[in-house]
Amino acid sequence: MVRPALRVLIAGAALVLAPFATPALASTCTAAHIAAGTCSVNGGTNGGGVDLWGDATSGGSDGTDGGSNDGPDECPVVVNGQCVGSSPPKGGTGPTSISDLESFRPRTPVQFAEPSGWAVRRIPTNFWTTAAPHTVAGELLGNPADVRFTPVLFRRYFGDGERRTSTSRGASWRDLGQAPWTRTSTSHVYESEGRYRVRLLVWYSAAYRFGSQDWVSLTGEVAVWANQLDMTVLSADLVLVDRPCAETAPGCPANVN
Amino acid sequence: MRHAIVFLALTTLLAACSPPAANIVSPPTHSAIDTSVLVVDAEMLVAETVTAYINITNDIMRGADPSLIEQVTTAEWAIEEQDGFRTVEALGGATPDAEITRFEVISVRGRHTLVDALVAACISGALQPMRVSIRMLPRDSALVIADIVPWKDSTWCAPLSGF
Repeated sequence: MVRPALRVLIAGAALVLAPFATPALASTCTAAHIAAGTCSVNGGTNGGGVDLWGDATSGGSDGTDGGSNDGPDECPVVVNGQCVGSSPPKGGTGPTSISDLESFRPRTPVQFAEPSGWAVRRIPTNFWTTAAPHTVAGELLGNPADVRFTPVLFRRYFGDGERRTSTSRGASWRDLGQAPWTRTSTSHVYESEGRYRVRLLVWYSAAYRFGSQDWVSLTGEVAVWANQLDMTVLSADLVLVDRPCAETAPGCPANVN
Repeated sequence: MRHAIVFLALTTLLAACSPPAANIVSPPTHSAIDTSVLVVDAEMLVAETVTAYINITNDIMRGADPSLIEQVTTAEWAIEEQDGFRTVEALGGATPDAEITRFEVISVRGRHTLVDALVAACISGALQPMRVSIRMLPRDSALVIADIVPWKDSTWCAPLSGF
């Protein structure tokens, strides 16, 4: 099963260890990403923590987005200004792929954060989206039709060089029944103060039907950007007060001018 | 001429000193030998895992069921893999096969079948080989890919000078 060349390399592994330290910048890529030439090592934050969106593709390429810094290079197919995560239409008469649904677009997903617009360094900030299955009515092949979009994957770029892909859309602390500032499946911890722009890409699968006929699933997904969230990450110091802050103890918000 | 004579004499002497085949003692089976065997086996397992991962990746990029990747990855990492396959599909056309162009086992640690491993590798495809660190975790007496981290600097993957 192991290729001969690989066996030779393994034999020498005990003697010749590669120089090894931590990677310069954390990111993730799969062999498929690398094969396709879309593996990116995020530029991440610099100095004050401003989101640079500086991607470098494998092999020292200067990027595939023409040098623009308006977002992560993750969308090879764009239709009507929106990121389409599937191949362009290949022709034919009936819709077979989600990219055939030119006049149907899922609603723009909305993402939220709590606290809203700010976060505390090294303490979890919770993110979630209300993206949910929904139906869009329109015309398909000259007939009235419905298209049902179902969110299947969520990828959040936290703006500090980290990203996370999940099948969970997340929920507020309250809806999860959790205490504020606790970790959730979609929370993130910022390590440095600064301003960060959080982006969310949601992939939808789709099915269509004519009238009251059965739903027909389409291959592929369509990816749609949600609204951007600008987060200011602050540091916090613990201060002991001699009574509950509700009683306007010294140092409490109600007592600070 | 003198060297040839010395060489011949040494060869004869060494041959005379060689023990008869019947006296060859089998390798001891104490723990030190066992450990070395385990380490070699683990490294072979690491290599087989990486090779299987690359082969399955290529199979999927050619049209096989993307869920096959779960055979060689953790469930968490499989999500990232699916994203990679979506990207390949979105690009359309023929994506070149992923290939390992350099591979070195950095560490294998553990006891018995509970082994995790870290590997430095170069994976090539459409562009120049990219250096990555691959972390593996045990699952059912085998190893599965748990994380792949690309390096910004891939000079380690450049062809060695003088070869």
